[in-house]
Amino acid sequence: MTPKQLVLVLAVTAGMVAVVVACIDWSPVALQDPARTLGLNAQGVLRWGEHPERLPFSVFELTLFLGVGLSFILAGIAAWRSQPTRNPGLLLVLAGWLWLASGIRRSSDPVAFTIGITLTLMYQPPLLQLALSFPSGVLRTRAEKGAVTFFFVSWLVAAAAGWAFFDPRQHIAVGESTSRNLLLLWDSPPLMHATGNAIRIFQISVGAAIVAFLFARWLAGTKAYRSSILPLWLAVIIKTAATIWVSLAVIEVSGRLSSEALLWQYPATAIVPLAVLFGLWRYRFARGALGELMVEIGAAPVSDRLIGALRRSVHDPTLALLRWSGDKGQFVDDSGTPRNLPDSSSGRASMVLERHGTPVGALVFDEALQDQPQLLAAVRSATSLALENQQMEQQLREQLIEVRRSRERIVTAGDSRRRQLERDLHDGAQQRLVAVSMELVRARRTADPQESRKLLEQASDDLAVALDELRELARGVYPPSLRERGLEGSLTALAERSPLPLELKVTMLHRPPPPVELAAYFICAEAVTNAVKYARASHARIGIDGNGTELRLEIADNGIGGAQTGPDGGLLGLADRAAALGGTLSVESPKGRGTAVRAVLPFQTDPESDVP
Amino acid sequence: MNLRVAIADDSALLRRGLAALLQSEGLEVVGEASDGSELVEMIDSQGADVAVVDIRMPPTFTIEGIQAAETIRSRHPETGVLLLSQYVETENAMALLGNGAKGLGYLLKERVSDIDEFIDALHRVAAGGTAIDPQLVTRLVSRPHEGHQLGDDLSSREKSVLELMAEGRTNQAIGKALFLGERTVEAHIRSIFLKLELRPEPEDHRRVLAVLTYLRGTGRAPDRE
Repeated sequence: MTPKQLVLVLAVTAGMVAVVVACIDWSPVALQDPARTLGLNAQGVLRWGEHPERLPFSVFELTLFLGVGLSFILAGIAAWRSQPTRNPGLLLVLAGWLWLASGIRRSSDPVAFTIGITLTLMYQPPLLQLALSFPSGVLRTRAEKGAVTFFFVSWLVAAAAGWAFFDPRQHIAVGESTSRNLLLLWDSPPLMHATGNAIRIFQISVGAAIVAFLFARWLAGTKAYRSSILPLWLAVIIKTAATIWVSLAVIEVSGRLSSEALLWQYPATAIVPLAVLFGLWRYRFARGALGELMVEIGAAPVSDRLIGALRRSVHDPTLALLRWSGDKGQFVDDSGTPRNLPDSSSGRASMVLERHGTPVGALVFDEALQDQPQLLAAVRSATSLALENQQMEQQLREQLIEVRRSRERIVTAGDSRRRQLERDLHDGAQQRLVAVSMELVRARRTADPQESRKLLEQASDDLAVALDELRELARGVYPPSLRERGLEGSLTALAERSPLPLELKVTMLHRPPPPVELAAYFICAEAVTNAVKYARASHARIGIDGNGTELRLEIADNGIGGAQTGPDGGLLGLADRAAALGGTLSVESPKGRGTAVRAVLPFQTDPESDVP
Repeated sequence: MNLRVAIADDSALLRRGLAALLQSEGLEVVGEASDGSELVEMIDSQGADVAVVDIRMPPTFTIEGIQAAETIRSRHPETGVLLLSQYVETENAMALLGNGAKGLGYLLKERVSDIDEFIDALHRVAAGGTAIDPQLVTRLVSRPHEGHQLGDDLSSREKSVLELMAEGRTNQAIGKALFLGERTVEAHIRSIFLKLELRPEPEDHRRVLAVLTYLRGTGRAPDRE
């Protein structure tokens, strides 16, 4: 409720109170006029007119009357301010205004009097609407909306019809009436009694129908609904009792007691808004557990405590949370046992929780809860949030584990590469150079020039081999042509050195960034090495396709297939290299049908992408 | 005296080259082995004055040479072992010399190119002396250190003597290398031992170990062997 709305409501209320007070005719005749007695219909006025000891209208009664109206309005304001929807409060305020407006029947002005008698019971339809829509105040079905329209119209028609055949000025047995009924068609007490009785039967029927409806809803309702509507039941009972008591008092009870009895209608009516307010508060209290639920959800993982909070929040101790098992393709309970969602005949209802269109879990609960879409929506979003939290945490953990593993693999691969390099240097070039130095020593020391020449030639040959080996090793560390001639040049060199016929097809619009080139080169080189070493291939083909944003590679051979990305295979290292660039690498190697290594390497590596 | 040499190296190229070199220098090559056990068998059956052993051999390519040296030393104490390696490592040296430095050598492979020095080392080891690669000694002597060490008080001449001593040279050889008289060398050595607070060792191989242990450690004198 905005401050503006509050000021408006209070201003209208103050204005109405002022008008009512100003309208009251305080002359003794007017004060004694039974037609102006607040709350009485035509029949009641007739009966009341027969009472010799009826009390005149007093300030005390005015106070009670205004008090009832204000209790409606204040309760309405309280409900309006605290409820998520303004409807219940608005209906209470409306009922209060209509109640207060009926006070102008104490005016001597025929128009005011007529409006007053017409409005006497008009405070009831808003309350009926509230009862039907309790506790949200929102009418959900067309039938409900139709019913409420019917209440307003029929109550208005009934008020008019009830006064259509009654001229109070002609029928007061004790004292006199000066009230002019503008609704009068013609004066006919029998007709007035007939319509009056018909109206009473009609209104009692409507009341009974609503009671039956509410009772049915009560039976089906949740604990929260029941606990919230309970005060309303009590209020209705008290109000009904008071009404009956007033009717009896008017009709049967004589003497001063009947006057007092008439006054009892005020507190009995004032109970109604208080009961509504209390009921709404109880409902809110029951829903308040939802707040607790949200707190619970903050403390992931999905625990028994979450289930407990869910159960408390909807007052359904049988509520269960099932999880979706992707492996099994169905819902499972906490112990992993597959569970089917209940069908409609079981008295249980379910709600599937989805994330990005795939189920993550399901809530199974009492069917009655479905009457509270708002609550269910809250529970749904709360639970979904918790499940999502949990799933994200799980995903994050898995990713972290994979990153750690891959990091370990990258380090291990680097280490073994270094070890291999040291071995190659030690057993190859270094050894050979020592041998050369020995040959040179021998050449220097020998007396035989021919021998010396032979040794020098030998040494020079060995040096050439050592240089070759060093060159190969250096190339393995970093392909020199990559920087100078780009990926295509390096791959051409690779194809030239390869013992396998290598078909090269490169389509690139832009030169990829150096890390991508290097990764692409190593992936090709490793795949070719594998094809030579293990695949017994007789032919291999390298296809490179690069656009402005990524490089796609395919290295296919016609070997025996059956290659695997084993834990210490070079392929896994290449997959890690591709992953480090934010790319992917896949190996397709059906037995007997060759091996195809495919990789996609994006040019832009954004370490923050792909992070949930 | 014709030195009888056994050669063990997994690289046939190096084995042959070394054998050819030694033969051309007039040494007798008893045989060639490609790993430690083959070498031990060969010495068991034929004997040798000295074995030239590659430190890294099959099966694990780590310190098979040192293990072979230990076996030979226990079974044939009269056979010297000269280990060759692409690298000289202090830890390897200490592992090798752990049970005494008698008849042991540890040199870089490339030392063979200075053939006179190499053959001298072979003779020394065969005679029960020691040959430690100068690179290792230099590394130990000139190792940067914090604070004051006893070795800091050595004169540059004494340091040169210390290096040669640690290599396993005899006083005579040290004198020859530094153009000093044998008496002067002895005086330097006495002074070194005094400054390092080491007990003078009469035998060359014991002296090497003492000095190496001293150099490797924190500047304290080694426990007596």
